[in-house]
Amino acid sequence: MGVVVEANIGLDEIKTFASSLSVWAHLATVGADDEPDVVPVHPCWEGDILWVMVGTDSVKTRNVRHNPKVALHWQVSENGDGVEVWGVASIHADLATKKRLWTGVFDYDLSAFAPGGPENSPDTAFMRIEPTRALLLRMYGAAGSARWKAS
Amino acid sequence: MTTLDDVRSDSLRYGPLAYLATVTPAGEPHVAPTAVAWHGDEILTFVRTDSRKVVNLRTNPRIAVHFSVGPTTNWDSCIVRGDVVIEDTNAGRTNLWDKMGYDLAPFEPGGPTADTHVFLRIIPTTALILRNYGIAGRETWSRS
Repeated sequence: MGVVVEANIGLDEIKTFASSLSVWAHLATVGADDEPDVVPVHPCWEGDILWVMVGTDSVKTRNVRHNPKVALHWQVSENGDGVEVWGVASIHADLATKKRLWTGVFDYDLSAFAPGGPENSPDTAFMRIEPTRALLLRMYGAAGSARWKAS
Repeated sequence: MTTLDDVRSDSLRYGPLAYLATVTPAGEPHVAPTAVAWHGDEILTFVRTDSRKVVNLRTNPRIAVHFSVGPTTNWDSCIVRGDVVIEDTNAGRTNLWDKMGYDLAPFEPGGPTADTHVFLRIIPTTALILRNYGIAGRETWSRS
């Protein structure tokens, strides 16, 4: 039996599918020395934009400042369903953005990680990821795949 | 001081699935899940020859490996960075064929002489263990 290739799908379907897999994704970035890095993140959607809480001096933040291209792979389900999203990232540490994101966007309490809140967390910033394409795989691709690309 | 043995022992808590990050020739990151196994001081994985990660590694042999996270391991993370040797010879594949801890035949019916799969031998250079997202501490290891 050959691999079933699904038709192209929309970003909303990618978002729904990703949310059904896990709250965790593995975020890959590239350093100035062309070395890859991959770390766990808990991203949240605001419309079609992904946000990740980051440290201002973390490796992923430094990498994105050099190379804005990122890839995220949501942790796969027990039966091997997964989704990878590629995008362009930027770092935002301004107070207006932090206050806006601190409540209502993330599905966990940011203050548990930055007790000072948006006004008193100088080491905390947010990574904004604008998705450019995505690949959805069912059973590691054995049961089908689907792609999305920004127009 | 954290040793490579400590890293290896810790990594085994997370199960055999890890997420491998590589870099495309155009400088774009790629990350994909794959089963891994330790073989001595190296991490092995068995992948398709035409996979994106193999194409990437032929240009840039650097890799980062992040083992799965979850509540059963208290949201700890184990990340290993290293250099990759692509084992794509019959002798190399034959030598490693029974080292993954599971039967490779269903994935490569042609056996170890089939050119459609290769082993990646990941030689660790640094490692980072984060306890409970890093809140409860971090441990680092470096080869040098």
